[in-house]
Order: sequence, then C-alpha cells, then structure tokens
Amino acid sequence: MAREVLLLGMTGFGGGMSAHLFSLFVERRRWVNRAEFLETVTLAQVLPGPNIGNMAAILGYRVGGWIGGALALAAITVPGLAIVMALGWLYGRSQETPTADRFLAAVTAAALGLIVTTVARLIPGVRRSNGAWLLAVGAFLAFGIGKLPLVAVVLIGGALGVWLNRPGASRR
Amino acid sequence: MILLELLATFGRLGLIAFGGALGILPEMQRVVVTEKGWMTTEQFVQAYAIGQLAPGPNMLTAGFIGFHVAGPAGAVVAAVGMFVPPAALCVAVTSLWRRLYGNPWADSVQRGVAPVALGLMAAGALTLAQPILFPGHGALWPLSEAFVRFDGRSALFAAAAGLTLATTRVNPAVVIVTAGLLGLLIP
Repeated sequence: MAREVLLLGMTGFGGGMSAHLFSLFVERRRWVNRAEFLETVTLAQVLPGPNIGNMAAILGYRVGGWIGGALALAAITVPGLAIVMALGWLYGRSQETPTADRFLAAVTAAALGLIVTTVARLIPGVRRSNGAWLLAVGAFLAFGIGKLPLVAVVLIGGALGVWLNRPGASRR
Repeated sequence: MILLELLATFGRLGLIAFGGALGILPEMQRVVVTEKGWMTTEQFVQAYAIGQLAPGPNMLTAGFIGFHVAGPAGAVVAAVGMFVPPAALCVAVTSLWRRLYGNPWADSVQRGVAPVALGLMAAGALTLAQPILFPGHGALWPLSEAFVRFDGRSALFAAAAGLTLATTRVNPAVVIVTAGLLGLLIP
C-alpha cells in the first residue's frame, strides 16, 4: 500500500489527487468501498488540515491501522517535499536575478489564474447547500476584507452553516 | 529556537486550516510575512506558486517556507507541523466514529461547512491577487492608486492560465511551468 501511495506522491498534483486516490483505493485495489471513500472525503474536508494529507492518512488507517495511516501520509508527502527542498535551494541561489524574476512573475501569475478557476469550479457543488451565498460571501467579507480572526469566522460561519443545513431542514 | 518556532507556527496553521491550502493562505501570510517577518509578501506569493510545481498536496508550500527560513530541517519541521497533527486528528475521529457516514448530521456538517470553506478560499485568492496584480501597492484600496500600479503582463498570464485550466485537461503543474518559460521569452 505504501509503495502504491508513494507512486501517487511522485506523480499526482494538487487538486487531481483525490481522483487518483479514489482510483487506487476503490477501483484498482478495492481496499475500501465507495461509501467508505466518501466518508473519508467528508472527514478530510470537514476536519482542519490539508485535504489530501488527511485523506491519505485516513485511507492508510483503514487499510493498516495507525502504522498504515502514518505510512500513507509519509508516502504522499515525502516525494513532493524532496522536490520542494530542491526548488527552495534553487530559489535561494537565483533570487534577484532578472531571469529568475521574469520566470517567477509569470509562474505566480499563472498560479493565481489556476486558483481562480479552481474556486469557480467549486461553486456548483456548494450551491446545493442552504444559505450557500450568505455563508460564502459572509466568510469572504469577514476574513478576506474585514480581517476578522480565522478561528472566529470558521466557528461562527460553520455553526450557522450546520444549523441552516440541519437534518430535517427543508432543502433547496 | 527556530525549528521549534516553525513547528509551532505550522502546527497551529494546520489545525485551523479549513478550506484546504487556499483557505489558510491569508492567515499564513499574516503570520509568515507580517508577524514573523520570515519573508516578504512577494516571496510568499512565489512560495505558493513554487509549491504548486512539486507533486503531492498543495500545502507543501509550507515545506518551501520552512526551507527558506531554516534549510532542509526547516522544510521537514514545517511540513510535519502542517500535515501530522490534522492527519492524526482525522485518524482519531475515524477510529472513534466509525459509523459517521449515514449519520444525518454528517451530511449537515459537510453541506454547512463547504460554503464557508469556499469563502475562505476566495479570500486566499484575493491574498495572492493583490501583490501579483498590483505589485508594490499591497492593497486594492484606494482603487485609483491601485490601478496606477496595475501589472498588465501578470494579469494576462493569470487569465491565460486560468482559461487553459478551465477549458482543457492539461495538468496544472504543466500550465505553471509553461507560463514560466513563456515569461522568459516574453519581455
């Protein structure tokens, strides 16, 4: 299991990784069933922390207990971390050179464009929640513009969101 | 000691990170740039972008920042702080609450928290947009001043990359590297 996840850690990128995890754990190896995978996604998103790391840890735990969880988390993060360190070394050596500046300006601008697309893609799924616009715009204004403390925004927004979507509440 | 400080800083960020990597960006910038002074806003934005070039979770940006602050040990410590405590919490909750799925409240929590996470992610996008599109200004207000500083080249690269991802199935890392290479060619 750790070997297969390690391969994912070397080849998968960002947002696409949950699809890779699904194909490995559910479709190819059948280590967990579809419902267990969905439960994992829910937990990884609802609890704090990096979603992919959380998912890998839960899936690894389901396959091989705490050791499995630790191995899966390590396998999915260590290859990228090694590359990040190499990039950090390069970055430290090439900073403030005109070539690096031009490269990095384009790279950061591209990353911004990708983020905007990523956020826009999430909107259709979120719209199914009750009070979706109120919660999303409210959280954006409170945290992004109003600079209110993140924990307060999460607690108040989260509580309001759960209440608006409580069991038995009419669905839009 | 700097390694302990990195561990504590990213450990805290990991445990309050809702909305994934993007949702925590504004808070991470506040701590890393304003509070600790470990890097400039420009370097922070670059750290996020470079983090996307490596395979694996987006939040490896934490490792990049750790490396910038304290070398390889810093990278490891920052990544451990960011990933391990939330993962341990996830596993603990999984083991305690085996029958979560199917519980009506689980669905309520997911549906209730998702819009908040989206709002936090949009705030993360704003955190990056300000220094990239209006370099040297740092804020969108007042608008008149911001537009004097508007970086049209970056805006074009951002629009091209965003549209490429929206309309094709190209790997995001490939989009970023291609943009960087074009950036070398286009003055």
